[in-house]
Amino acid sequence: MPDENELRKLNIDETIYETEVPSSFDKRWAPQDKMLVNAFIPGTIIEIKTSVGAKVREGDILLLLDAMKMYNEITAPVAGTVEVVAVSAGERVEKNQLLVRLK
Amino acid sequence: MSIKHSVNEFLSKVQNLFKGGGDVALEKQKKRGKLNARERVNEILDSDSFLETDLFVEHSSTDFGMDRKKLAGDGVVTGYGKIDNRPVAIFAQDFTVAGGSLGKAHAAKIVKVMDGAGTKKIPLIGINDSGGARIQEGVDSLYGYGEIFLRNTTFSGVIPQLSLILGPCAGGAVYSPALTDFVFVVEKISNMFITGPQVIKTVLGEDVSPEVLGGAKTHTTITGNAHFYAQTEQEAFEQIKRLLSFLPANCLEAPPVHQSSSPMKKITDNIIPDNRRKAYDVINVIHGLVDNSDFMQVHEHYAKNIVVGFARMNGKSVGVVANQPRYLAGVLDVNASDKASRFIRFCDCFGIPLLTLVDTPGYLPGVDQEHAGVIRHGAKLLYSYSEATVPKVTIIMRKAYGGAYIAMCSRHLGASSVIAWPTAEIAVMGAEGAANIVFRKEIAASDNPETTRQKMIQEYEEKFANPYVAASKGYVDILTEPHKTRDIVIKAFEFAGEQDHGNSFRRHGNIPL
Repeated sequence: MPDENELRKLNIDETIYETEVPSSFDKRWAPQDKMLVNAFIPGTIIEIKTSVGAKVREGDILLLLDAMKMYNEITAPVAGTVEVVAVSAGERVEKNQLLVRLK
Repeated sequence: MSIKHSVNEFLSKVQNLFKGGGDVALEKQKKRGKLNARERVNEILDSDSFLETDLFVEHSSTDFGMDRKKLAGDGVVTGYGKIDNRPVAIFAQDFTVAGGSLGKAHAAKIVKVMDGAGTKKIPLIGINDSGGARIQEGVDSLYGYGEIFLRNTTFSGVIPQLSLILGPCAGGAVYSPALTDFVFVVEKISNMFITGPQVIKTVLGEDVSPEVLGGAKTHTTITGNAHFYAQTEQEAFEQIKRLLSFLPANCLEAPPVHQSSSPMKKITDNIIPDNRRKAYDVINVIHGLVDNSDFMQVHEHYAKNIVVGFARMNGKSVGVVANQPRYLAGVLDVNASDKASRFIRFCDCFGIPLLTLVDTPGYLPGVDQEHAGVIRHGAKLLYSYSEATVPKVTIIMRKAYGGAYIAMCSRHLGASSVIAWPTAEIAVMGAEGAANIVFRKEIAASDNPETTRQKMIQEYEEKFANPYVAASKGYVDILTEPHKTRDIVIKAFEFAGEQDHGNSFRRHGNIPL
């Protein structure tokens, strides 16, 4: 199997080392945006239970997602107003796809 | 009936059984670039050493028309043979017979040869090439898998168990290899997954090829489920033979002793760069230490920031664990900890002494690592080194900082001998980080903070970035130049005994998993 060979700089505890660094290392962690409701699993949208402009409380059901032979209730992670409903009933969604945006 | 007639009848039965799933199925197997089960067994074993058992076993299933189906050997070849004149037990699933599917009789044959291996205390080699459970036999096939898993576990640490994946290995079937000590995979032939691409597509809508999902490269680079990668079946067989040459037949026996021979490549005193920020390949150091520079890496393509594998010193097997400065500066992280811990525990199971080479800046900082549980995984390394009772010799080549210094088989975790090179830096952390903390006030109050910082770093380096502070406290036993290290390591192993933790009353420890 071929090896990566290029040496890059890597900072560990303020010492900078020259070493191989895999590309997966470049992904940086980012805090979760609670206003974005994404699909936690791929599946099919069964029913939209909210609409743009609706005021929701934390825990209100936004839509039903059919995945792994289960209807999953997708709820609002925080209170807010529905700004965007990005999917419609019957639509197939990928993991992490945006479903609803709150403001 | 004459004797001649009986013998002829017997011979024609054998001939039929040797055809496995028949000419068409055998041809298909060949077209896939795969050997058939009996060929594989004969290729692995010393010639003419195979003693096949249970060739005439048949299933007794009657549902779904199974009563009318005869399956040669019930889809698995089992028996005993020799590798380098040492006995092993072996089974090979025959994909040409009902897709190598596992039914009750098939499992019973495997279980019988496993029990044979356990009783005789000889290594077990399993060749997996199977579509999975024989659905027609229902829960009986699940019973079969369970019986195999139970034995994989009860014989773990008693006899070495090796698994070759030479075809599909899906669903529950993956757990037998996963329970064994070493898994071998072959490019374009091996596939392992819990749920295959078809199911993933149907249930989740994700499109993925079998190769990407669970092929040989995936399991040797991403998942770490497999330990050895080969381009061809033949190469995998050679890997098995080579690996077994380092291992004892069981936990009560010592590993085979070979003629001692000098390394092909010698270690010079400048084997590592003097700038501690520069990378180098630790494999060169290992080659310079071990007999004939013969080093067999385990998990070569996985978590490359740590190197583990088998070698010999003075003719005797050792397990080598080394930080790899060439890759991610040799940091410890979740995967490196898992990889090394599994290897250390294997060596300890089978009485193989441990040689540890240290040059690591520490544990990898970052949210990803913390969230991935680096505390829990990193703890495995401490646990397995502390738990190991085999002789443990450690060489500190360069950086040994903080928690990683302790983890890499320090004196404090029970090393038999700790050897350090003059280039060793045994300290709480690197000079840059330490100076920033220790001299924070001086640096902040200075008219020229950067100059002061550099001065403080230098001061810290001179005082602590060396092996002498640790040696003055007896944390390092022996200081030596690189070129003398091999002789000293051989002596250190000679004088190190098996340790006794005095807790044999304990049922077992509880390793963090």
